[in-house]
This record gives sequence, structure tokens and C-alpha cells, in this order.
Amino acid sequence: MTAETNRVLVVEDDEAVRTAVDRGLRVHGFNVGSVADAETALVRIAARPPDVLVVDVGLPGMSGIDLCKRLRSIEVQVPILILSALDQVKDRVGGLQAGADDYLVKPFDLEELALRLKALVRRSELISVSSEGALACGALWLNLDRRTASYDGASLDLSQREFDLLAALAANPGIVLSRVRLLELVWGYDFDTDTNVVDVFIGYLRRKFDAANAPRIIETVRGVGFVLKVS
Amino acid sequence: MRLATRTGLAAFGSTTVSLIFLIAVFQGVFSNILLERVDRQLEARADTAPILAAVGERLSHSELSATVAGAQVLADGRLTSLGLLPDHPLPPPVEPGWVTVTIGGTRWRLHTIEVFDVPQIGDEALVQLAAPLGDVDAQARQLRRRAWLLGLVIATATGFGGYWLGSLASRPMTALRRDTGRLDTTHPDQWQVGDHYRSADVDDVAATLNATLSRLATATERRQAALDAARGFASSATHELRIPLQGALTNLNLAASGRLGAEEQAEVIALAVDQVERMGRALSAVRAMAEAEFVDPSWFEPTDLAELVDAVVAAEGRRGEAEIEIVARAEGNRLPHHQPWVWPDGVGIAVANIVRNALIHGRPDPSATSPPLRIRVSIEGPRVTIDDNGPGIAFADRARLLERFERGTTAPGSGLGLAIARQVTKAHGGSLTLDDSPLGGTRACLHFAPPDPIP
Repeated sequence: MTAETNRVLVVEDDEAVRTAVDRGLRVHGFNVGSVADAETALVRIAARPPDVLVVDVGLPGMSGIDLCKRLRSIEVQVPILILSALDQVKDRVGGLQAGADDYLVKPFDLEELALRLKALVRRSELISVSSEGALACGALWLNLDRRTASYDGASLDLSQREFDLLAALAANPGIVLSRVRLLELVWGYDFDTDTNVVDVFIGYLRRKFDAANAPRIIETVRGVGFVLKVS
Repeated sequence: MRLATRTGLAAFGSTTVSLIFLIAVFQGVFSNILLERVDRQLEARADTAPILAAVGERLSHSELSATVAGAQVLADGRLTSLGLLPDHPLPPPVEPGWVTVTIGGTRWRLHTIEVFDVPQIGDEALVQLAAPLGDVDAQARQLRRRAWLLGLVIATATGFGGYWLGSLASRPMTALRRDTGRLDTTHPDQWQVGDHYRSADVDDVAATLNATLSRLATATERRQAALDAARGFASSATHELRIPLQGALTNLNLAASGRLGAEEQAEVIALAVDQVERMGRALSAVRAMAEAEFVDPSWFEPTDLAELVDAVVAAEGRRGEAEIEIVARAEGNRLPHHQPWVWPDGVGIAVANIVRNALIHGRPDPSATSPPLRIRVSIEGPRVTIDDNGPGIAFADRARLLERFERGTTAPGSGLGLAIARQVTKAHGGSLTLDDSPLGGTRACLHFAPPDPIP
């Protein structure tokens, strides 16, 4: 991975944090750009999208969540990791629902941030080159080229990360996948990390199945992980 | 015990006591009446006693009367019994008069009279007429039984009647109890019972209850507001501390990574120290804010505002470069040294925060070409106005910057300075306003008293 393919844009309003993260990520081999607000970030991304985006939730003016929504609405699929100074569930969930891929609560470890960003970049590169046709699992149908999903004819409106998670489960029907394995398959996290992002996204997927009046085919196996039920 | 039960028992108890007394009196009176009837019959026979005595043993019971059973005659030391007398001998007549004796379980009424010059008996004799009281006593006993039975019925009926009337009388109280039970604990603003229960006593209780409930509701609402503020504040304060903590942690992570040169190593450690100091300032600000939110009235005292402001401004002035001017004016017809009643520590913090803001933001470009920063502090009564010739605050940002944790994008502070200053003025019933200054920059007007009433 060269610095050219490892470009990260940090959007953080607090100067001290921005400077420190900027320096820290550079030390970890990233090609770092940093801006203080969402508006400037949009200009930078329009000029040249980075490989991965680090966005603080509490930005002045346009918030980090609004930035995620805006980017996803204009089909910018750059992986986004949001930073939050609020550790209440509703705060970080807002960011993930807006299209972010992962989140970290301040204060976080620089090493952790660097590892997650590298994994997200690696994973997105892998997805952008893979084209594997279609995946069927009972009434569930996934088009891996067009990245669309439907259940019994009803289409499921999934974010990129939700699609990847569902594809990972559908590729292993009836097999229980642990959270660690899912983090590895979907997020590319092959290191030990403490996050409940898998549970959060499983929750989103289930809600989307409910919205499409589809049965809840993703089951929790307590103490182990999750499994896609085959009828 | 229910009020109605209490009323019922009270009625039963008082009726029983009255009846016991009445029955006792009635029984005494009735016994006397019966006894007097016996006595009258004995007296009626007294006239014929000498004749009776004379006829002696020929006297039969029926000839005496139904009441008088017999007689004893004592003459010349000889005792003669006539009629039907008990087997056990009656006491012999001793002197004229009345006496009641009990012979073999039966009471006898004895009437002794003296007779003179009676043929066949002699010059002088004592005739004792005797009447058994068995029938009289039996009648009295029967009457007593009936009286007690009737008394019991009356007392019980009165008890139940009392209970019923008590229930009727306690209806307003029951209604009040029902209304009190229906109070919704989650809505203190609706904590009121009715005010008309068709009973002056209960209305009084309801009025007292409503007054107490109203005080309780106010206290509860105040406590709830304080709790909400504290909870929101704790959450916001946590949020505010995480940012410098992040800055410090990242710099320390870098320092520990071993990937930096000596110069850069020293730089990141210095930056980490800065962030730790920022945390310290944030903590002080959080504490000041908490104090300003829960001001104790005992902290207020008459204060020479000019002197206080002078000391605070002098201390702050040493932190930056500025020409600072302090002007104290008398307000209206008050004496120049009129001392407003304020919370001195709070006022000190508020004024210091505004002056510090002016010092920090007054010269964003401290180049030699920009004019020197000027700050003017004017004190007039409970009002402190701070002007500067800095860049000023955009009109659109003024309201926002007074809120907690809000700051300009370039501001390095905790985002609490102005919020604390405003909270302190609010604690005085006053206000903090931001405006354009005649000096060209910002005018912050701190009013440490409720606004003057409109004349």
C-alpha cells in the first residue's frame, strides 16, 4: 500500500485534536489532509476523493452526520469513520445510519484509529475490484455487481456496509459467524478490537427486512454470533 | 378506624352508659313503688290488727289479704302466730315500725304496731303484720331483665344509626380521600384536590392540603429542573473533557510510538501538556458553571462593585497586552458608593470571563500594524459594561455564543466563559447582552439585578 493509495481526509474542528491526529496518521503511513469544517471537506472531496474519511460528529455549521448523508446522497462511497465525543448510543447510531462505516468514541487510541482506517481502505479496494455475479439464499437475492438486494421480489434499501454484512452472512447460509469473523470479513479488522459495530449493523439490517415485510432471517446465536436462517 | 365506625361506636357507647344510668334509677324507683304498695296494704290492715289479734287462731290467710300473709302478736310475754308464716320463725316484734328481713331466701316486710285495751289480749300488745316480698322481687327481676334487653336493642340500634349517619357525614372526607388518591405523581403541576366538599371542615382540610401540595409541587419541579440541568450538564461536561483528553492522548501515543525525532518528540509532549492544562481549565469552568446554576442566596452581600471589578480587571489585564480603562459612574439618584446586593465571586468570574475574551479575541492578528487593543470597563449601579476595539462578534453568532459549549471556530476556550457570565447575571435576575461597541468591537453588558420596572 503506497501513500498514494492511503489518502485520508480528517474533518475535525478542534485544532489541537486535528493537529495531533494529522501528525499521528502521518506517522502511521497515511497521506493526511485535514480540514476544520464540513463545507471545506466537501470542496476537497469533490476535487479528489480520499481513500478514507475521518469525520468528527460535532462540527460547527454542517454537522458530521449531515456530511455523511450528503456524501452518500451524491454516491460518494468513500469509507467513513466517525469520531464522537458523545458516547450515548443515539449519537453514534445517527452517524452510522447516515451512511458511515464505523465509529470511534473520544478519547480513542491512535493505533486503533490507524488500524481501522487501513482495514477500511483495504476492504473498499477489495470490494471495488470484486465482481462475483449473484448470490441467492432462499428468497433472498443479492446482485453483487450492482450491489442490490431483494427478498421475495421486494427490494431492500441497504447502505454499502449493510450490503457487505448481508453478503457475508448469505455466503455462509446456516453457518454461525462470530462477531470477530464478521469484523474480519466485512470491515477487514484482522486485529483485536473492542467495538459493537456488528451488532449495530445487524440491528439496521433487521429493521430494513421489517420495512420490506420480509421475515427476520438473521438470527442471533447467543454467545457465538449471527446466522442466516435457510428455509 | 373509619370515621363512620368511630361515630357508630361512640353512639353505642354513650347510649349504653346513659341507659345503664337510666335503668338503675328506674329500677330503684320501681322497687320503691312496689314496696310502698306492700306497705300500704300492711298499713290498711293495721286498723284491723287489734280485731285480727283478738280473733286469734281462727284467722285464715284469705281473711288477712292476698298480700299480708300472717301476723305475730306479743302480749304479756306470750307470742302468738297467726296466718301463713314461714317455717323458720320470724323475729319477734320488738317495737313499732317497719323492717325487712330475709327468711329462708325470701324477703319479708314486717310492720309492727302497738295496740291497747284489746279484749282477750290485754292492756297492751305488739302486733306484727308480715308480708312476703317474693312476688314483688320476682316482678322487679322480670322488669330489670326487660329493661336491659330493651336497653341493649336501643344501644345497638343507636350504634348502627350512628354508623350510618357517620358514613353520611364523612362523605366529603371520603371524596377528599378519593381525590387525593387520584393525584398523578408524574404531573406535579396537577397536584390539586377540589375546594368544595360541602363541609366547612373538609374544605379547610382541602385548602390546607392544596397549599401544601402546591409547595411540594414547586419544590419537586425545582428539583426536577435542577436534576435535568445537572444531567444535561454532566453529559455536556463529559463531552467537553473528551476533546482535550483526545488531544493529549494522541500526542502521548505519538511520543510513545518511538517514530519521532527528538525535536518532534519534545513538541508533541509540549502539546500533550497544553491539552492537560486545557482539561484543568475546562474542569474549573465546569465547576464555575455548576455553581452559577445552583446559586445559594446566602452568597449574596452588599458589594462595592467598582472595587471588585477593579481588582478582577487588574488581575486579568496582566495576562495580555491592552490599554484598560475603568470608569465608575453613579447611577440615577443613588449615592456613588451605593452598594448593590450581589454574589461577589460570581460577578468576579463573569467580569473576568468577558475581559479574558476581549484579550483573547481582541487582536486576532497581533501584528505591529494593528492598533493596540483597548478595553473600557464601565460600572454604573449593578451594571458593568465592557467595550473593546477588537473585531467584534457577528450579529448572527451573538445568541449562539451565549450558550454552553458554543464558541467561534477559532476560539481556543472551553466554550463556557460567556455561558457562565450569562448564568451569573441570570442568578441575579439580570442578563448579559452582546452588542456593537462605540470603540468598534464588542460591547458586553452585564446586568447584575432584575431590570428596572417600567414606570
